[in-house]
Amino acid sequence: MAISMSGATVDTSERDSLLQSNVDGGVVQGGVTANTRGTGFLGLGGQEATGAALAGITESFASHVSTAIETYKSNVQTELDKLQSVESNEAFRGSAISQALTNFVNAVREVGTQYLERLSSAETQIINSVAQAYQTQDTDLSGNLNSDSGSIGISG
Amino acid sequence: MPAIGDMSYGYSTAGVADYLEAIKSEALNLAKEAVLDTSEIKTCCENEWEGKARENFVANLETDAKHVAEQFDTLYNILVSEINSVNAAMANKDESLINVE
Repeated sequence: MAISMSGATVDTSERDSLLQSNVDGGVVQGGVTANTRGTGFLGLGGQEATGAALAGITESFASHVSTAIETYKSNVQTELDKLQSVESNEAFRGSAISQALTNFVNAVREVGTQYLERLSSAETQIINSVAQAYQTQDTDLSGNLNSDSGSIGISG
Repeated sequence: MPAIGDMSYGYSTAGVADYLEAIKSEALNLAKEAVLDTSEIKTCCENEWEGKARENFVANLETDAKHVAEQFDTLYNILVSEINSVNAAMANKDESLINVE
């Protein structure tokens, strides 16, 4: 897309291309300027697809890592929000300059927001993994109890 | 830190350059630092989570954080390029209007 103002024309195709590219599982596709759209982010996509619990995850860890991730996300979001002040600037006159600044701020915030959303997804998977593990454990216990009940003659 | 929107840079080559530098040093670089600082998450994982899944998670977190920071730089470079293009075009137009010989 081209931006025009008073005869000045700016080609924004590079930025447009950037926003259309993808990342798959942390491996960049389409060059180093790709964004974080895609699947398998943070290496947990496989577990999400199968519904399997993540090995080595405990309730305590899930709680601690959730807190760490939330703090991290909050810190990043705070800095992204500060960029909003660029968008509302009045330092320059002219729609092309203003549009370039707006596009920049929006693009940075979009990339950052997508990244944080992916991280939230990974956080949810870790927390769900604990629930999955407990559910499996309950099923095992229930099976054992049924078996024990049968052996002492109280099971129907 | 003063809000970038409050800065009163003049519309000149130096003013534009200073303004772009302010965007980078006072906003973009801080956002990059926040993205790249995955230490707390990494430490938590390494202390309480064992296995290949943890290794993948931590490695990919660092890779993706670095990648996002690189995208911020790329977007900034695009902004600089666009603004410089606009300035150059406007300067050319002004020159023709003023008819400098």
